[in-house]
Amino acid sequence: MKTDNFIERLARDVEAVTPLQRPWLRAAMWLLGAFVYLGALTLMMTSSSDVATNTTGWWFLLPQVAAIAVSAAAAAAAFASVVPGASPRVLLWPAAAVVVWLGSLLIGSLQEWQAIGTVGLAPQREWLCVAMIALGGALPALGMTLMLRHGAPLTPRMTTALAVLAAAGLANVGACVSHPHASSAVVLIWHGATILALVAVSSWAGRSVLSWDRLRHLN
Amino acid sequence: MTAPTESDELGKLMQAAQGGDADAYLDLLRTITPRIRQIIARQRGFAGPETVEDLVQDVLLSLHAVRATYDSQRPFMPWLLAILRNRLVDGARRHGRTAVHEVHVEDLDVTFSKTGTNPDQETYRDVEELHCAIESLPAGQRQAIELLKLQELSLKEASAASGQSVGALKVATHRAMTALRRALGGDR
Repeated sequence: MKTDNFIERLARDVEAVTPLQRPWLRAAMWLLGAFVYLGALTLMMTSSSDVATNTTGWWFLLPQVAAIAVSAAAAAAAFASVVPGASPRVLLWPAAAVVVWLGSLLIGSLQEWQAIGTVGLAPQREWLCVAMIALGGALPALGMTLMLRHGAPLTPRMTTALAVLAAAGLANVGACVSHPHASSAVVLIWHGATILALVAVSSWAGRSVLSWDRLRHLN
Repeated sequence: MTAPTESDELGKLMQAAQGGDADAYLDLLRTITPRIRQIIARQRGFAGPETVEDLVQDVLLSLHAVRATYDSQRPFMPWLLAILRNRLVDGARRHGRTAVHEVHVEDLDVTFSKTGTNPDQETYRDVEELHCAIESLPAGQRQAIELLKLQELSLKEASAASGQSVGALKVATHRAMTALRRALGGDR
């Protein structure tokens, strides 16, 4: 088909579309929904008195705040990554937040090792955390993916990796709050490895989930 | 107050297109298409005009598919160029993937070159033995071989010369060839 005819056909078939909201606004909407869902899920797995017991101490709170920051920054970056022409600087925020989160866990682990002499890597309860992060984070990740599919799949691998980082980061907070952990090292290794594996798998599947071909079928 | 830039004008057309205004969309597409074509032709200097037009249409279709991502508060051209760059990189990646698996063959054999796969072209080098084998065939088969294979007559000509029907000649030739292969040790 000649390009002139192609243009006329596109214009003739054009339908009204609702412009997407700003990335940060979409991220905020997603974060709110994920907070409510994961909060309810965490409370179902434990009691509010247990939560209060589990959430004391500076070295517990700092990694949780950092993990929430990772989730918020990754969500904003994911939504920005499907908008053509958006500033790539938005990707620096999740990277910085991940450094703070891992750094806080690492420092916590070193302090515990100096104080107690062991990092306490007992694996008995940590498979529950793996399940909580993977299964608890699945629904928020799916929700974000559905929202991202309305955007442009410019960097599908990175976008899906950021989406899963956001969902798993938040589910990790739920897992930390729901039951006590032996040490920061346990959280660093078990939670960190789980999130890393999920991010790797989602990045690998990125091109299947977000593609230009699928978008064209919709139009 | 600053004068509106061309990018602003294009942005307004896009905003109208998002609202379903077909005329504004047609104006927009007609304005940006020559630029898209120019950029693609510059970046893909080695590509022919047809490939360039394919890429232009690919970019236009992509733009159409994600027109909801345009934010009217932001300039239009960076949005368009981001899509264009992405499609060009994707196109180059696709081309690279397919080119790796392509094998250019100028003159491909219709069948394999081994003699066993080309029974019509089989040759027999002991002419005397072949002659004896033909002589030993029944009369009808021998005549069919002589007319069709040695004199290379058509079936119609051979039928007229021998008085046998075309069907009978075909059957006789087939049986003769089978008998010759067996007699000359080719039926292994």
